[in-house]
Amino acid sequence: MQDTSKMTPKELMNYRIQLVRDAQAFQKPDRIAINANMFNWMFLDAGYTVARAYRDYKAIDDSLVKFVEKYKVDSINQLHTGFRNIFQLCDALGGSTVYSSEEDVNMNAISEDVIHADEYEELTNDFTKTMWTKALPRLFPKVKEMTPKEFAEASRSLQDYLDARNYSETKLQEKYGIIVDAVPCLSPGFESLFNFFRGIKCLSLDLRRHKDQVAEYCRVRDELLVGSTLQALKEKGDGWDMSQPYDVCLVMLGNSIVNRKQFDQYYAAPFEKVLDYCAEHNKQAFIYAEGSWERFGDFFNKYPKGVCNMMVEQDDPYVLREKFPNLCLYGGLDVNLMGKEGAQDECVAMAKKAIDELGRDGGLILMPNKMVSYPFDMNSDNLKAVCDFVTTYEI
Amino acid sequence: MRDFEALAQAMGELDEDTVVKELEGVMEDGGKEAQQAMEACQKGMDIVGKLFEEGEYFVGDLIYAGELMTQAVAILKDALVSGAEGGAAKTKMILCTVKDDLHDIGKNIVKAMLEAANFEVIDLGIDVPADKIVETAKAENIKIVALSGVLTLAIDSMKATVDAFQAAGMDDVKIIIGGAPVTEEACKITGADAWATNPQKTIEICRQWAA
Repeated sequence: MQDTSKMTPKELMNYRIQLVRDAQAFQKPDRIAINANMFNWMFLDAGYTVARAYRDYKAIDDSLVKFVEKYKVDSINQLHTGFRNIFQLCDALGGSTVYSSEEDVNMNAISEDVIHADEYEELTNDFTKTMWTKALPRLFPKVKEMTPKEFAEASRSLQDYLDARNYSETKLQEKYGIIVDAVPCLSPGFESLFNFFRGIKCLSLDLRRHKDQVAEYCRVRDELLVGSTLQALKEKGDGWDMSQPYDVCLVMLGNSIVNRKQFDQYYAAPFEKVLDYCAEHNKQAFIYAEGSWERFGDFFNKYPKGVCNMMVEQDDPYVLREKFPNLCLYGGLDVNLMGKEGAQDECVAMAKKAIDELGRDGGLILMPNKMVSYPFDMNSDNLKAVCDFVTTYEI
Repeated sequence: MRDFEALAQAMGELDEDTVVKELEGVMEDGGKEAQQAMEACQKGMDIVGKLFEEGEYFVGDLIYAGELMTQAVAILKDALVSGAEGGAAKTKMILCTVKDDLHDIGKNIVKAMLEAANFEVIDLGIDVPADKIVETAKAENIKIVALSGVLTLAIDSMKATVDAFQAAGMDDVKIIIGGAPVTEEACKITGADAWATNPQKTIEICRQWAA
């Protein structure tokens, strides 16, 4: 195993990217990489409340620094650096349906069908206009009363957010050699309905009551989104982009409600175009997937080893490996054990078992099997023990 | 004579147009067959459950099925109330999402399926503290409680609820926990009697307890 103690941050990041790339390609890596999968817990661990952290970019930055200095993780997904759900921007727009009070350890969103069932055609035909005229005022009810000056201030707030995010991400990379991914990302049209416009319940009903409208919206959006994703991939040329841990990210959260036929229509169809390209041009894709995807595993497993690299939450990674040997798995650390019940030696034994059985010849990036959010999702000593073990364990 | 087998099948296939048309037909004919129609809908929900277990249906389909069942009850309600002496006795139980968790979709799916399985469900809603559940169970003489949650935070609240029942000396109350973070491990931690991550298993366990 290479000695990383004298590496510059740049060298360390390159080393870490190589670890990830090798594991994804099912080539024996120098050691197993560990991804943080960290969410609000990072703020709590640094001594902040969720509400405070989301309203103070310095608190986010401080939480990140404390986190990476304490725990030897190799990568943090860009979605998990804490720069998400920024209340400052929401506040500047007059408040939103997403909130967290000072005493909360979590945040909540008031369920809202931001686009109504009878507005599918409008959304499909003029997405941008519908976003401005329907979605924005419903998400931020006071926005219609705002003066141009107030709106300009809100825009500046957006720029402040982007600057702060860029500052912290650059620091993670240039000072600590941590991988923070920034790759082309395909979040299919169905995802926007699931996450933003219709929500779980309304979309479930729409899938039967407004099936044709849902299908047409997704067809039009996916044509656009797949096209831009492929274009971004083509611009990078063939082969791996070694400045990144993978070449493209595919997002799959709404899979948690769909049956197989719906998956084939709303996810497999757009994903196939990108994954076919990846297979033909030696690219690696990371599939950011929440919930369970075992029932769709055969779709991803049809690609050669190296193409599909899957986040594992609710599925058993050992069952997945048995059934889908072509898939590299991001997972293996159970937060039930690491958060509450497990002792340090039990957590280290769990990590060792995952490495020995799932990762010796590549195919594994260790990661908690849930976005670590609440106090009992993770025990600090357990996380430290596992990180210390993983970064020194010879395979 | 109506074809209630076809109604059950339509419910199982989540064919809203046919189900609504048939049920409205029952009411237009005076509602005398409302009880049979409701039983056909319940049978249809069993088909939904079976298709879920077989992997053909998933969560979105269960949400839709719950909506359809709610609609069916609303159409037949007047006739069912006036002919209430018919039908099998129902077991009363409590269902809720525990304290600090605001998610209700999973709870509502389970509620619709439990009601279709002939349980009378007292739905205490979301973010429900342990003492409210205990008090309701005492007041209503409830012996089955189902606790739902989506956040890992919910596990703590589930444990607090189980502890509250024990502290109240109500060891005869059976408690089942369910939801995304629930596992066998979580069941042990909370001290609950059973656990489930899908409505079919919840119904199966509650039926055993009610027998």
